[in-house]
Amino acid sequence: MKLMTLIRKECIEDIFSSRGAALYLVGCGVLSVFSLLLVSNTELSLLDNAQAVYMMAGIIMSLALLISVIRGSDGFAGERDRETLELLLITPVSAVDIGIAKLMGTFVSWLIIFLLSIPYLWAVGSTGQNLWPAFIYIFIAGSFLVLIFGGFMLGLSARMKTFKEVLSIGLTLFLLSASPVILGPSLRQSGIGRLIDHVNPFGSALNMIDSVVVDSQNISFQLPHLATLTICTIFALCFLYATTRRVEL
Amino acid sequence: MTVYPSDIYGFLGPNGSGKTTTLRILCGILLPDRGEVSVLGQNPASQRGLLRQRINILPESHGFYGWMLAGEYLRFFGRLYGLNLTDTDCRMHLQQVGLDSADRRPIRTFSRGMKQRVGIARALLNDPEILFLDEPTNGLDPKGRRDIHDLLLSLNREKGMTIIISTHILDDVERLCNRIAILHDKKIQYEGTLLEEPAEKARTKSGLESTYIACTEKGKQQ
Repeated sequence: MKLMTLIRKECIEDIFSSRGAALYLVGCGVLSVFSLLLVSNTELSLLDNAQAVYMMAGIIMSLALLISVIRGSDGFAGERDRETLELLLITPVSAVDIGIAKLMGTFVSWLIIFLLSIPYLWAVGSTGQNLWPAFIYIFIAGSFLVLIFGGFMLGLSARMKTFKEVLSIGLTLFLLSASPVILGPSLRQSGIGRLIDHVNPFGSALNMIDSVVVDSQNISFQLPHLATLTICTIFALCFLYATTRRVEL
Repeated sequence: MTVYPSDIYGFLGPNGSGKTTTLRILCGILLPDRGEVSVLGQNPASQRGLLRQRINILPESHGFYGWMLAGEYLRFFGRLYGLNLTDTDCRMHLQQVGLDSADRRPIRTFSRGMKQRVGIARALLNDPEILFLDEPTNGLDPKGRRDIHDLLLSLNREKGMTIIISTHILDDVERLCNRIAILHDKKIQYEGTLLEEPAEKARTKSGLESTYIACTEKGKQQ
C-alpha cells in the first residue's frame, strides 16, 4: 500500500504538473517535426520506410533518455531543493521504496511518450516492412534505457545535493551516450567506435532496432544487444539500491 | 540530554548552534559523527523503520506538495503510516489545528501560518509517542500561536505525549516547557527544569532569559 501510494503520487506529479505537460508537448513537437520532414522533404521521403522508422526510433530513444535524465535528476535532489524530502524520510517508508516509486514514475512517463509516438511511427512506416516488430523492439529498448538511465540518475540524485549538479552530470552522460549517433557510420567502425557501441546501452538499443527494422534479422541476432542492456540494467538497479539504502538530507 | 516520558522539553539555542541537526539525528535522518543516541530505547540510525512509526517531526523549513489539497495531503502521509484516512478523519485532523473547511483547498493557496498548521496536523497523524517540533510557531499570528500552545498542552495532558520543541522564542518555552536544555556551540550549556509555581513564573521568564544569555555568552567567551 505504501509503495503504491508513493507511485501514485509520482505519477500524478509527473503527468499533471506543468513541467510534465511541457515535456510531453516538447516530445510531441519533436516527433511532429521529424515525421513531417520524413514524409514531406524530397530527399528524406525517398528513404525506405524501414529506414524512416529507424530514424524515428532514434528520436524516440533520445526522448526516453532525456525523460530518464530529467526525472532521475529531479528524483531525490529536486525533493531536497523543494524541502519535501525530509517529510518523506521521516515516514516509516524506506528510501529504497521511495527510489523504486520514483523509477516507476519515470517509467510511466516513458509509457506515455511511447503511446504518443505510435501514430507518428504509423505515419512514417505504415506502408513499409517490420512496423510491428519496430513497435515491440522500440518499447523493449526504451524500457531498458529508462531503467538504466533513470536508475543511475536517481542513484546520483540520492547522493548529490542539488538538482542542478545532478542534471549537469546527466546531460553530460546524455551526450556521451548519444556519441554513436554523433560519431557517424565510418567512425563507428573504428576500434573506439565499436567499443563505445558495444558497452553503451544507447548504442545497443539503436543497433538492436536497426537490426530488426532495417536488416530484418531474427531474435538470435539481438541477443548480444539484449545482454548489454540487461547487464547495464542490473548495474543501474544495484547502484540505485546501494545509494538509496542510506539517504541523508 | 535526557528527556523523560510526558515531558515538554524545550531545546534552546541561537541560530547555528546545532538544534536542527540534533533533532534530525534523533529522528534518524542524519547520522551522528560520534556519540550515542537512544530514542524510546531504540537506535534511530539502525531501527529507523520501527521508530518512525512511533515518532513524528515538524521540520523548521518544510516544503509542501502545493498541488495537493489539504485533505489529500493528510491522506497521502496517512497511507505512508499505514492509515487509511477518510474525508471525515482529514477534516477532524484539520479542525484540530484550527483549519475548518480547508480540506478541499490546494495547499499552494495557503498562507504561511496555514501551512504551518497543516504541517502540525501531518505531524500528529500517527499519534506519536514523541513529537519533535522545530520552531513550531514560526509564521503564526498571536492567536495562532496561542492555539498551537493550547493544542500541544492538551496533547501532553490528555495523551501523555512527549514533546520536544526546538526554538529560540523564550515565550513559547516559558508557556509550554517543564524542562529545558540550552545548546550553544554544539554543546549543552545548561539542562534543567522550569519552575511551575504561578507566582514564580514571572521570575522564571526573566530567569530563563538571563540563563539563556549567560549560556550563550559563556559559549562565545570560550
